[in-house]
Amino acid sequence: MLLEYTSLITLIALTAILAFSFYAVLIAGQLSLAQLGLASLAAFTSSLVVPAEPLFGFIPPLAVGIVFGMSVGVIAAFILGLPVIRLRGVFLAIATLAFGEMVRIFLINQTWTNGAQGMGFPKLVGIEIAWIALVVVAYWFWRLSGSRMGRAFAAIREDELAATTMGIDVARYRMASFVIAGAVAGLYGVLLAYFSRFADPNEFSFTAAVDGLVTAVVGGVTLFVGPILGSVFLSVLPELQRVLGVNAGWIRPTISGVLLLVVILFLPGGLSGLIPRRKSAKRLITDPAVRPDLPPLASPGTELVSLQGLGKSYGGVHAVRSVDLTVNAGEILGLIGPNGAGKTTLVNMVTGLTPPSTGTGVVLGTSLTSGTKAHRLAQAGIARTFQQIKLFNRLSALENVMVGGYRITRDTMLRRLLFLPSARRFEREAVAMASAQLIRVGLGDKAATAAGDLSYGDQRRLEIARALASHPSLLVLDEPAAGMNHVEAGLLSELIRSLATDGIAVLVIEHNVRMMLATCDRIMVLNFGEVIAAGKPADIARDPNVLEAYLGSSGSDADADAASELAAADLAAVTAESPREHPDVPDGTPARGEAAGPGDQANPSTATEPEDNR
Amino acid sequence: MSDPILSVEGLQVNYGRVEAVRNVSFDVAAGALVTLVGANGAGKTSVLNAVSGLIRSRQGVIRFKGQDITKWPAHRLVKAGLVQVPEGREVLGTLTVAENLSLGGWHRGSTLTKNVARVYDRFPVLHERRALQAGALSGGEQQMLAIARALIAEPEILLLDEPSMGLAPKIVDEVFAVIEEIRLTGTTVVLVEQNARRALAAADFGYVLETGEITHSGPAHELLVDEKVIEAYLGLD
Repeated sequence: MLLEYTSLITLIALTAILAFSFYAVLIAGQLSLAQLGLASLAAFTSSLVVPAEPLFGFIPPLAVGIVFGMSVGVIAAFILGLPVIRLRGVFLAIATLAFGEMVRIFLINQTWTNGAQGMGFPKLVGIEIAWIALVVVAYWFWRLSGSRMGRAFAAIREDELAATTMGIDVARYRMASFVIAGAVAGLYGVLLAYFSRFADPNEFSFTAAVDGLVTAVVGGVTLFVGPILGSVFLSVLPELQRVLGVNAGWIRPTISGVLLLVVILFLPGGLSGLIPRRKSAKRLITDPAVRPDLPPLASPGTELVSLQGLGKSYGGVHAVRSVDLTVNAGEILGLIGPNGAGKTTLVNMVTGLTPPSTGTGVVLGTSLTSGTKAHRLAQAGIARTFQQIKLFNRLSALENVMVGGYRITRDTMLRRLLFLPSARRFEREAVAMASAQLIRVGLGDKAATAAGDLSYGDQRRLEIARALASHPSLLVLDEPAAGMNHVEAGLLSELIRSLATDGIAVLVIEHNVRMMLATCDRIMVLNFGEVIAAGKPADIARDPNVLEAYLGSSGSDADADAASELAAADLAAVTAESPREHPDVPDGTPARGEAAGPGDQANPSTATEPEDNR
Repeated sequence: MSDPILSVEGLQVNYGRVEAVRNVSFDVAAGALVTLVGANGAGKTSVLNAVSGLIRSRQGVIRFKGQDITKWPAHRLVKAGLVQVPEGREVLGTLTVAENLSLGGWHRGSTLTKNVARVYDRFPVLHERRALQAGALSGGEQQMLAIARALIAEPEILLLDEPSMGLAPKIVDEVFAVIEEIRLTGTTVVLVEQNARRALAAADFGYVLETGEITHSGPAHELLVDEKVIEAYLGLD
């Protein structure tokens, strides 16, 4: 009885290994169809080196084959990755599909492979070896999922740009996922050939690649057991129907197909989405003893950012012209100006996302050039939030903040593979540090909520917590109070002041003028990409240029007076006052700005401010 | 008062097990400007999205001009005259300004040209930039485009979700001026705003939402001076 199913059970394991090869790239958000090409390369070339007798008398031939096949998979994936790793989505799929076809056609036209007639292999793989191999592969991915590396993959999948600004070298991790997938594909190719005793290049075709992809997707890519579930589901279905007496012919594949559709339509997380996830991974650790000591920040007053004549033009249009700027540790510098004045372009240059066209700049000891990488600046100690919120939407709030801690946490993948106690300690430290930031911004009770399900204002706060998790020297906030009411903006102001007290330099863009006047030490006003005013908040609020270009009817003497009062007042009193935005409104006549806005409307740079898109 | 143009009764909205909106009821009189204010996560956007058919309510009845529209999909509501300007503007970034506007008139084939011309009259800057990609506009211009696009659909009732978000003070003035103008043409407006003081100053009637429930309601000028509302949402003077 069992014998009857030996072949099926072995194939379940092999198919699951193939699905893991797709899983390896899917968890990093990449769609590669090269897996079957890599597998067949490994299978056929291994026939050239696998000895008939044990190597040196004790290394089994299959072990030689596996090591060789996986190496071929790794090397081929790396070489293929060099040109194609920059491609995204459907372009990557097409390029990798072409690779698979190239390999197939190449192997068919070789004499040593017997071409399309196929090649015989000795039977070296049985049910035990197949399942042992699957267990090892599954174990690897299980340990990967909770490690810093696993979080980096998930972050890249959710939002590459945000991942870069956490200090994650996206290109390196994308390549790593590609190479891991190559190793698993090589393993699959060798095991399959030495199990079925025969291989024909045409078996490793596009259809086979799609089957592998479907197996991975049906099983789900959110949990490491996904590929196994997918393989069991897709292999057992036809068998089950046979046992139940469903007629062969078109009915069996149709029923399988319908069930497949049901899974894809109603289980967005795949079959593994049905498994309740362990809650412990989402629980806060609030014990301060668990948090490691972090290196001290630069002493207040240290110059962290220094820009001279920094400018950016797109085509002939100047988004930012010749800005001089310094930011010191412990200082809050505000950046205000009309929409499209170049504020976001300026902070994109400071954070390394946009290379400057003119001028020089040094940020945390790194000079800004066309070769400056955003992840390097992040590693140096810059953290930022985005005008258009860029959270890792499907990760929990806590996981988001843990990715933010990438810079100050250690990679735990190898330690986790070996189950070293230090792995658990480092992970607990990472959770504890993330918990502290989450609580600091007031989201302690939402740790387990997926970021995408939070309200707009909570998402803004979570972005700040994620940025803080990297223990930054310089924090850049792009419109942090958007979508917050006056009371919430007051709390945010309090938070920003406390960060500065800790020694962090804060560069903040915000339209909530009342909040800016109450929060910032200095304010710089941009219009048409140029600095039109800079100085103490009280002076800015009175500056006629600023009133004309930016504040419009909302700027009034009341603002200036308020700013002076605020500047004089005790900080705690200021924040308790919960500044509001439009001091001229409460009389009930909304300010009319009919003629307002020529500055903004006619601004040539509006057409070029790329905000956060790259 | 004649029958309200929009009435919501016992609305409940859930996300999974989380109740985002509980037992919310309110009426909007034809021609009025009504505002929903409240903290983040209070459920303002959820209420608006349930009314406009973007999300399904769990319980409750929504009536528009006397008709039960609770289960109507969003596109049918637009055709019927209930149009939303979504949070975050949601202009179609890679399409031109002109294409964005003509998509606004999806259900208004015969009057499209006239409507577009009228909107260009009102927003000359959009006419100036009609051939530009919408994503290249400044934030203020994008908000104007989003409102203009909604107006082309000839709304009887316009739902505005956070129209002042992320805009310079001067542009906020402009947006509120446009809203005033829209209601002067007889269009009913439901306004969701973080800028509660500003919204209440412009509105006839206001509702305050707190953790998914309406806790205060009344004529907007009364809410503006209501101490509890000031304390919770407006901040002190």
